[in-house]
Amino acid sequence: MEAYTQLRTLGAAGLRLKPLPQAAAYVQQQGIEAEAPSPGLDLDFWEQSQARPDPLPLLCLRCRLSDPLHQWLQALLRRHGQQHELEPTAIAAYLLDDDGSLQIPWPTEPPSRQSFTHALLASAGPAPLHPFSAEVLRSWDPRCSSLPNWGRERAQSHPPLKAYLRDSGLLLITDWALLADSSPKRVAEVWESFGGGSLSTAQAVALHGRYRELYRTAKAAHRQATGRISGWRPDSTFLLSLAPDQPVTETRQQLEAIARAIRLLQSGQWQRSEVGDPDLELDRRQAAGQFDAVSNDAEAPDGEQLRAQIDAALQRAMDQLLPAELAAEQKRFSKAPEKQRAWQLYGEGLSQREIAARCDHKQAWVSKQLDEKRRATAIATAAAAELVRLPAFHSCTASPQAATRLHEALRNHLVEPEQEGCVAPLRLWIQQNLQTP
Amino acid sequence: MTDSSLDQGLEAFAIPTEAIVLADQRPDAQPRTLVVAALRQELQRRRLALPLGPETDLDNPERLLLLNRVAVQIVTAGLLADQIAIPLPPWQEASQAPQLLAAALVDDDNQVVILPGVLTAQEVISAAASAVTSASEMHLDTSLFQGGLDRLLTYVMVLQPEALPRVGLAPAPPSLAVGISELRDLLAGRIDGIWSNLLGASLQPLGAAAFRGAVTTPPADTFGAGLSLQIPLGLGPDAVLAGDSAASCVERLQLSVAPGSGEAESQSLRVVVASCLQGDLLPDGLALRVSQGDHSHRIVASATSSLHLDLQQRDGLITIAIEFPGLRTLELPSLLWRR
Repeated sequence: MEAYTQLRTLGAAGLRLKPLPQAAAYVQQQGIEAEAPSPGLDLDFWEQSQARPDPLPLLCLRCRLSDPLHQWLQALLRRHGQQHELEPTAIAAYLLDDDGSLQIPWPTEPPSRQSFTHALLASAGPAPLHPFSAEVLRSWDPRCSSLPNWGRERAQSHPPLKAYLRDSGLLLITDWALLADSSPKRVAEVWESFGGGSLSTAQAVALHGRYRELYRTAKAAHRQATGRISGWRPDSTFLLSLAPDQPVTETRQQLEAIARAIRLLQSGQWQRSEVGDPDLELDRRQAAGQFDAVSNDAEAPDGEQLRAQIDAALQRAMDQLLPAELAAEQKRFSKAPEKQRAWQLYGEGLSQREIAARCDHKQAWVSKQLDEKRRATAIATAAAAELVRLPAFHSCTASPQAATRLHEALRNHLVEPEQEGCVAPLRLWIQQNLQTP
Repeated sequence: MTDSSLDQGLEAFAIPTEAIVLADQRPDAQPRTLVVAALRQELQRRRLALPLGPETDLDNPERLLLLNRVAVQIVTAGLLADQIAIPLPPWQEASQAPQLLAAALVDDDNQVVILPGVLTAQEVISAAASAVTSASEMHLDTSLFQGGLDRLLTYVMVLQPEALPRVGLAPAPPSLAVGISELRDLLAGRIDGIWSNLLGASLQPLGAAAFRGAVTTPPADTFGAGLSLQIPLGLGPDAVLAGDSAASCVERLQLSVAPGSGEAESQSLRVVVASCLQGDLLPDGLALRVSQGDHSHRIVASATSSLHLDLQQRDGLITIAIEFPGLRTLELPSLLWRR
């Protein structure tokens, strides 16, 4: 029965599994002999916590909850930890901050500690509760969701964790937002490929259709009631209105299954954006001679003059945009010298693969640090707006296609050396402006 | 909830580099407000002083956004949306229609905005042909929007107003005051919406139906290869018509536009008007007018079965018009030689 008697918690020595003798004694006292955790046992503990003002049944559920939260954290770290430089203890501090105490800090005036009971949670106001397990348990409705799933869902929408991950370049997107964002076409496709269970594709599409129909109204009502757009989740009334003929738990599970299928497809597509800039690499190979196609021959100056005009416009655009960007990067250098090294090597003209090898990181890490495509694109936009005032480029103002070609040519020119052995303009600017200690 | 299910059903998504993460949190803001805030933030970051309007009603999702005086319809969807709904009312009246359609994917929860790209009005018309459409909105795949915020900014900062014509989704007006297409693109099969949807333009192999009658058959060495652009014409009750609306006219004609072939291909162009019935005479008084830069040519039918004009490559927009006494003139979208 370790699931109900051992707590995954963040202590001074890091994450650990903490046996709780009081919980073990309670389980023994109740005569529970099952080895594995189950929804039925979860419900038994829940009902016991409601029946009397005893913190022990909730303590067992807090243990039970900590394991799936720990698994969720581990999965997040496995997938994104290195790429986004996530700190395991920072995330654990948001989710696994329950130390197993029978009392919790309570927002009274002055602040006090109260017995961690169901009755106390039920009396709580809207202010967030600590530890996180209190926040999960006070809003858990066993008719709608299992405890592990509810823990996962609350983790997905836990504001401080979301803020931390957002700052690390990650977004947590709830099942409910994912379902609302998906078209019937997408649902049909993913259910055909990844769906399972009792729903046919037509039934999944129909359920999802009803969900989308009612979602907007429900979210508008939530906004009116709370003053916030975020934080909406379907309650049992909402779920019942979607499928009046079946238990709300089943409706919820079906929606979660559809969301899971969408994630399987979507995460693969989305993650491709993390692995470097193959488009830019391809563009580079096509960069040579491209301005011939965009400048107006009749009025164009000779090649050297044209190149001088382009370089001057790009230089001004870089001088306008890059100092603030580089200053922001340089603030991070003291904590992470390998980032400065990556920038130095970039300025010297090394490829991302070579930089990755020398910095002992993956190429995706280098790509993320340099963010070359975004920066080059923004510089090209500014330079294009300046260049079209010159007669040689005036024809680019006549059609979207011509303007796009000019923009792409500028962007490619920024990152591609003019001749072998030369350094591309963007790299040269970094080389000249990167402050070395 | 097992380990494997967690790994498969990824819940955290890496923020794409092009995403705009709002610096100031607006927890109760509507998507349009977040998009406007994102635009402002990005313009400020780039030090671009572009006017953004309408100043007193910027957050109204029913209003077009005026970015650097270009009319942009902003449509929003969730961050992971695969389709986006386009409200159609702004497209009903061509003179009031947007010049650009910009998609914005908004995560109001995380206060993140992504602008995947823009479509020109002409591209919207093209996309509408295969879109799922109701009376009030149509749905387009978000993947259709390409180029990101930078394409939007490039268009509004670089292009002349006439390069971004306003085109409505309503039936074609008799006279089309629209923008510039590239001749070589058209004749290579890249017929955009205004040509295919409104003018009924199609491509035909030269020699099959492009030039009717012995008089107008071009010499094989000049016009005998490649494709010609075919547009059905008709004399309506009060206007010269093109496309579907020409089909019901009693007097039906055909306009053909074709390049030369071989060495002459990039240097010459032939424009022909002939009756749909081979050998039939054209109505007397029908005129073909072609302008290119400062040069203009006009020929009038008199007991003839076709009118044709040959153009040589030079700078300047090419405008083709069909005139008939007492009817409104049909003016085709301008063309440009592609270099």
